[in-house]
Amino acid sequence: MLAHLTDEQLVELAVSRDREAFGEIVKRWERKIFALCFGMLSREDDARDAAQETFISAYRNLANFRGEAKVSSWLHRIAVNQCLTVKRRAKTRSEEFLDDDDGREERVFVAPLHNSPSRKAEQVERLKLVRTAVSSLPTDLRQVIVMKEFEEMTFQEISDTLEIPLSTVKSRLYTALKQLRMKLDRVPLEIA
Amino acid sequence: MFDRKRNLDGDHGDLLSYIYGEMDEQSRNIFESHLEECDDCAVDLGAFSDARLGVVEWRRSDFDHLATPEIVIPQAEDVVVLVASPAKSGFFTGLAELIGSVPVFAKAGAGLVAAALLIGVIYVSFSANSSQVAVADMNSKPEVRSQPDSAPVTLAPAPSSTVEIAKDDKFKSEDRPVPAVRRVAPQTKVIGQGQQIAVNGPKARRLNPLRTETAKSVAPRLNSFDDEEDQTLRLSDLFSQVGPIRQY
Repeated sequence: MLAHLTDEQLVELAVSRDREAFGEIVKRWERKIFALCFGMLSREDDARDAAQETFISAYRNLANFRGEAKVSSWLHRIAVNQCLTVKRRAKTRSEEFLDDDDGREERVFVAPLHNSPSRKAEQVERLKLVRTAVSSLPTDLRQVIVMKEFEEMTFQEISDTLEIPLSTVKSRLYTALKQLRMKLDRVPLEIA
Repeated sequence: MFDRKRNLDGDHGDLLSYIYGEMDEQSRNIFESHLEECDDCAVDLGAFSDARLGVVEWRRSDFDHLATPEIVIPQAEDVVVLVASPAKSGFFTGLAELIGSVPVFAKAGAGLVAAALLIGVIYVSFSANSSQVAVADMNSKPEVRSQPDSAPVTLAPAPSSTVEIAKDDKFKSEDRPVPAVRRVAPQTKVIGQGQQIAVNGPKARRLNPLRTETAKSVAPRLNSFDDEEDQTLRLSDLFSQVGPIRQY
């Protein structure tokens, strides 16, 4: 029943202390908010914590949501602020412990904790979609994806290897990710 | 400052550089300050991060557990040695290299010249051989006389080419003495049906009618020394029947 409601309708229900309505919002957006946090923090455990904090903060501030913006934009703004807070804390901590980190972030992806059968089935289905989507990409786009994600090459290394301009590498990767996103969501990517 | 329009409609460099951690610290601070103000850029960042996360999960699920294959290049040392070792020297190696360096048309020309030389050598050799036969024929001139009762002919007539050469004047050499030989035609005697005996030969061989027929079709091989196979008349046979040769 709740699945047919819009985000704004769910928020209205959640403001009236309908926990199931807010649970539906979390179900709809947790993946995207987690991805945003992962894109900003680069570590899955930090991203998971940030996503958790994002939804807790949203639930506490439901009354402040005025409906002037989309729920998705509201959640993304909360997530960005949460991630920036995490980064500032991490930076302060590293300075306190005299960490000699040069600022380059360690990019580690830790296995997610998908314990429930429904989550596992969802993950399997998503992997199928990713395989199909990557396989259907044009060769030049798939090539850049593989070199970037599997071989972990920098943009400059890919540019040197393929002997193409750096801007072309980024353009191809942008197009590849955009097409992947469209195929995974089966809805057009919201790009203004 | 971060230019969203440039990034989404232009080279998209800032957004991707931020996602993949390849943005310098100053640009990153500018970009994050912009994210605090711009919900659209935050949504875009989340969308592209989600797509990237899908690829990362796929990689982790399907590839990360796979062991890296051990690449073994067999006999790598031999390859290095072969590359480092000097080229083999020798006549045939040099000849092969020389042939290899010659263009194709030159090879074809050389082949034609070699073929012409070979044909010439064969022709000269054949001519000299024929001349020798003709000289020997001119010197011996054996007369084949058959028995009146049409006994098998032992000697076949010389080929026409040999006869023509023999008629040439230059073979009638005056400064080359020709021994006076009394020519005796071989005589055979029929001893039975289909068999005969050479009665005046040195060995008085038993003749086979088939061999006699064969002898009709071939020229006398006067320069042959194969006593076992040759059934034709020899100068030695004739000389054995005559006295000492007068020397000039």
